[in-house]
Amino acid sequence: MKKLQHHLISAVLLDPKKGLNFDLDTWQSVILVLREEKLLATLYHLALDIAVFEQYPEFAQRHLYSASIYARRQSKQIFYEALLLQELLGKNGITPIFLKGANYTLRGSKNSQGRICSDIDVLVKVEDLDNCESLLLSQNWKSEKLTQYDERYYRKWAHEIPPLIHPFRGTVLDVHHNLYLPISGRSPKIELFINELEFTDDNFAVLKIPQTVMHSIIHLFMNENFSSGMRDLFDIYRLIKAYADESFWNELIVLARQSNFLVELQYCLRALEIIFSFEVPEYVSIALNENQLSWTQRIWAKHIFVNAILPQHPLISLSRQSFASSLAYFRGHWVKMPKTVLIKHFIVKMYNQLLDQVLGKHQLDPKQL
Amino acid sequence: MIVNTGLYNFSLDSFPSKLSPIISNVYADAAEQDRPIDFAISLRKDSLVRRFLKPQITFYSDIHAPFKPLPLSQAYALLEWGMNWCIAAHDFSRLIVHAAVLVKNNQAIIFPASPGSGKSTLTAYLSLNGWTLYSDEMAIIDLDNQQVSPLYRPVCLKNDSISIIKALHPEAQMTPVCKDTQKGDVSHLKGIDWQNYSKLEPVDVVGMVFPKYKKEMDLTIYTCNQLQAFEAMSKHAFNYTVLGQEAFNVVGKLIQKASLFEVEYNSLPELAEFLAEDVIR
Repeated sequence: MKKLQHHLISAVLLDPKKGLNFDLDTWQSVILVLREEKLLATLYHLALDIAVFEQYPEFAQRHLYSASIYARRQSKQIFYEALLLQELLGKNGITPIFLKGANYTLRGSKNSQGRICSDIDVLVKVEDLDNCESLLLSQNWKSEKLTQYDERYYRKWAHEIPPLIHPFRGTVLDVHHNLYLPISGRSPKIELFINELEFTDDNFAVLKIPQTVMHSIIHLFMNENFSSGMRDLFDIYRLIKAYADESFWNELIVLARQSNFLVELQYCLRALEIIFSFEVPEYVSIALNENQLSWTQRIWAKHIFVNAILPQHPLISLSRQSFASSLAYFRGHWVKMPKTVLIKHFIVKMYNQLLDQVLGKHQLDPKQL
Repeated sequence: MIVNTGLYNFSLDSFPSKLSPIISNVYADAAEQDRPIDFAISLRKDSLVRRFLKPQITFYSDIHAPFKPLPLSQAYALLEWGMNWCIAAHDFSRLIVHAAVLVKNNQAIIFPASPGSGKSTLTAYLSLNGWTLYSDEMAIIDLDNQQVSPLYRPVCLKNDSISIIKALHPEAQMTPVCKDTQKGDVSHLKGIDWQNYSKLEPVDVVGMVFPKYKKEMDLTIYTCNQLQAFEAMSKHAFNYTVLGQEAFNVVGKLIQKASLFEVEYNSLPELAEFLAEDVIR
């Protein structure tokens, strides 16, 4: 199968007209990579918007269209679940604030078209968390089956409810009370994000745009898993393209400073420049001037994060990427937890991984024994 | 290796070499068409120790594994089920129903799958007795004209039906039996060759039949009401909830056009006769 150049994926996302020059071998590989990156349906909408979709080969059209139907259903599901949540929690004086994919979909931002989410994330105030959990459990939401270790991880270290799943509808719901793990010591003052909220046309509460973008940046750059990194960075790119004016940038920079994520903001801008040829406005660079990255941070920005974010698919990936991903994976944990907790966590995870490697996956699954 | 199933083209990139003759038996005559592949799949042995001790095999759809590994001896069945999964999880441009489809005189009958229906035995029997096998596991239905398309796949026979079909048709081409899978013992039967398959076209659905195998029961035919048929079809459609309104419309049109029967039977030839004379128009 035909190997792809890295820039080809971002190139076709930025300008779907590029697809008109692809031969079928290229399309075949592009479809496979985009499918793994959860970006097939996104390209469908991008191509449709500039009226080139119909000129794509039938093969490409079929796969892009099919993916868009799945995404359409997800979007409907998000509206439906949001309505039920709003009603259930609202009756009890709790306002759920929708985050990430649900935020994009409910506000109808362009990047939500064709976006595929694995779960719905909502934020509630910490004092409402217990009440929220029991209300949800009363409506048939169930805790996903976790190992004892993972359950403790969520409750004790993450101070979060483990993900809830609705057995009839298959929806997965993540209820948060902060945008980042409290145990890390890095969780921002939540008031910075929720003091002012935006309400969508259907009256769903979502973060304001600078807060939305800041949260997406935190989520991407303070995490260990970059498997949907390309999609997540493209979300940020499109939000900025759609909403950024001078006041947006000012608010974003102030927010990054106050919440202590200025470094992550700069990592993100660098990744946007490198992967999507984004031009950072001059006044933004000037405003960030006094907080320039150190040389190690510059290496992380340019060589580690970018490689971890770019698609890692056998048809495209470079050997330096898996090294970058391992580093980024380690950093994701490093920033998340106090070091003593981190070491314990790694020992358990490594032990489990070792067992998997030696004995085969799922060796502890009761059904397999 | 390319595994061409007609509507969908798979590239099987790594697999245990022992499978090679089995896959060739089933798919080798499907000409390698000059068209792009839809899904990259592989079957891989994962763990080091498990290569020697109770060896396992994992199905990969491109770079992720949708299900748990199975014992190595079940590799071929896993390949077939994995391909089913790829189709059901990615194709939302058609309605895909868990059902067998058999065709006579360019008219199709759909047999939705229910446990104990004897669907696969019936499918194998009909495909060896003058009917054209369109599909054993998946009815692929066009959203605009409700026609059903053929799929170049074998029939998945389970448990007793393996020996029943072998006894009736010793010449039938079957894969070696995979023992003790989730579905019991499994063997795949080649129900059509590529030369015949390649001439097939999408056809109209004239009947929907819900068979029930009952050992003590002579052929008994019930007409089935539209509501029951609608319920069964929507329940058995893999992508019904994803397609939503469109699926609702297609199923609605299908059950209005087709004659609907529930049959209890203990004799395959008798049932075949009923189908050919009373359901096919």
